[in-house]
Amino acid sequence: MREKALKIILIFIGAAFIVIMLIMPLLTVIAYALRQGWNTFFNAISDPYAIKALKLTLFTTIISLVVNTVFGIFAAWAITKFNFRAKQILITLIDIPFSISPIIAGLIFIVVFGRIGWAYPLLEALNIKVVFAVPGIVLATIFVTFPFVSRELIPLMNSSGSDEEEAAALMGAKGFYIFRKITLPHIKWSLLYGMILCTARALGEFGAVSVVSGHLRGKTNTLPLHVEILYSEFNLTAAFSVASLLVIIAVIILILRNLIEYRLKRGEND
Amino acid sequence: MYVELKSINKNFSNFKASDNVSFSIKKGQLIGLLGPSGSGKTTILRMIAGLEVPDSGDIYINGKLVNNIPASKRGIGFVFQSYALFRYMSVFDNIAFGLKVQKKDSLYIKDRVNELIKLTGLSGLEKRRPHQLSGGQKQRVAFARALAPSPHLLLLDEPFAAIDAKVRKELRSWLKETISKVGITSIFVTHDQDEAVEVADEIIITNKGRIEQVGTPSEIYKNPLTPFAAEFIGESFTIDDYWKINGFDKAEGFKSAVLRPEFVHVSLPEQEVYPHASQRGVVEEVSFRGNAFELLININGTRLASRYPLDNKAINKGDEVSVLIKRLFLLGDNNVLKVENNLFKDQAIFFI
Repeated sequence: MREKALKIILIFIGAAFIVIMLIMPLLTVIAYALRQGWNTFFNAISDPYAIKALKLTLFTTIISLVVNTVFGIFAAWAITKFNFRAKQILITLIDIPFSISPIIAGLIFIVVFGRIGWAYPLLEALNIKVVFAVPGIVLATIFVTFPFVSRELIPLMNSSGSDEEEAAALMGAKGFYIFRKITLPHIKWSLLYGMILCTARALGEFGAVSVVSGHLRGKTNTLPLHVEILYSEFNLTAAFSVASLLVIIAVIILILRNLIEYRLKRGEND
Repeated sequence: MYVELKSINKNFSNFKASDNVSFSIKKGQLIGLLGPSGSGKTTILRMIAGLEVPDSGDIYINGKLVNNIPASKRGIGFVFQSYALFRYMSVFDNIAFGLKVQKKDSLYIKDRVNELIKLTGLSGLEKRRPHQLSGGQKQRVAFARALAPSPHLLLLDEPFAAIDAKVRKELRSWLKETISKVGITSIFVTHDQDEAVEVADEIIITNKGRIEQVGTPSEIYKNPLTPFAAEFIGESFTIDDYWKINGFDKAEGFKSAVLRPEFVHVSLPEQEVYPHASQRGVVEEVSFRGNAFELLININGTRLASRYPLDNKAINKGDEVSVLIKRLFLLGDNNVLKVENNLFKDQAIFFI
């Protein structure tokens, strides 16, 4: 009897926490966005600056996703299929973006590529602008999201060992063929899962991007930065309207994530 | 010589996995690399396959130096201890993999795979995935997959280790039969001496990265050359003060001795035949071993084990028995001396 009561209390606390901390704020965002009717909402999200910000966010996300997927697979492959001295160091390095505050990640790029940075004269000579421009935003996003894919793959590839790959290699198969036929079928769901986490993080990244962006409307403003600008201008309805866009994308990603998690679990039972 | 290793050395950081390993194998033979775990036998196998690179030394296969030939071009079939079946492919696709890599045409692949499925008794399982197979079936698939591209040499890493004891015996004789049917030169690694003795034409005993002895199972059993080989092969029992046993003298440089159960003859005191060559001992333990009793006998502080036939007059714990030891392997630092009981020999001549 007491155990049953405990169970109900725990479920209630958990549910209440999620409702108060997550669901209510998200609903508030959408409710607030629609407070002055659909027209105001559509005006806010079809504002040219908002659309430019959305485009920049998607562009940044896609590049980060591609780069980090390729890098993540390479890193996981190197770490799990080969033995080398600096292995543990490499694993630690991959984790750095997780442990560093995004603001510091942004400052790193200012210090390296900005006017005070050591790489500045070189970039100047080549006529490349990194800080307060799109390349800086992309770099900062890549930096912040780069552990997701490799972190997802390393434990899985570690546990499966390299016997199957060795067996394939002994029969004359080449590297890419082995990857395509043996490794990829095994890691595909984990890979997708890592890619989704990476996408979600890249879409919403604020701190690091904020430092390197310079907040130039229509040029270096991403969606989260655009929300922040609208908010600080006391244009609350517009801010919440644009924010609700991010919420919708996040919910779609969440659903995808759960679908893939379900597939992953089924794969384990297979 | 079909496979030849010449002074191979291999270190893993501080661990010496191969210490000046040299041996050679004749074509068509089935060789057992036998040794305790950590003796470097799997490393030798992986170096022959090209999965590890020796620090120094040469490996020849069919007269050709293969040191710089990558694993994929050596034409070797390899059966992994874990089988390493491709888990996302059916049995058929697993076996066909090597042929597809070689870009053989699909008709040939179909014929070849079906031929191997028949040879390995896997008919009807073509569409199954590895996780739907039993251990014995997995091993057969791994074996068929390794044979599919018609390799010149087959290497098997602990082929029976992951199979339960009952199926293992069956699979052993099946493997020996099938390999001789295919006629392929094969090397398998094992830590189980019964397995090596039963399956191999010739055994190579490894210990601490070195080769201890090479020979047929019966040669090694009858004439072990090193203390390790004497103790590792057969059911052996090591005793320290062997010179206290009637009929044996202390030999310079030999500190202990190995005896096999068949070297020991136990009888009741009243049935003793060679009193001079025998001594009395007390039975400390009697255990039933299916086809015989195993006795643990104490002879003035020296303990040894012996077999005792089931249909002889029963012996119980605490009984006094007559023990005749006919032969011993004396162990030196790096050599073995086979000695016979000198009193038993003399008496035998005297009586006849």
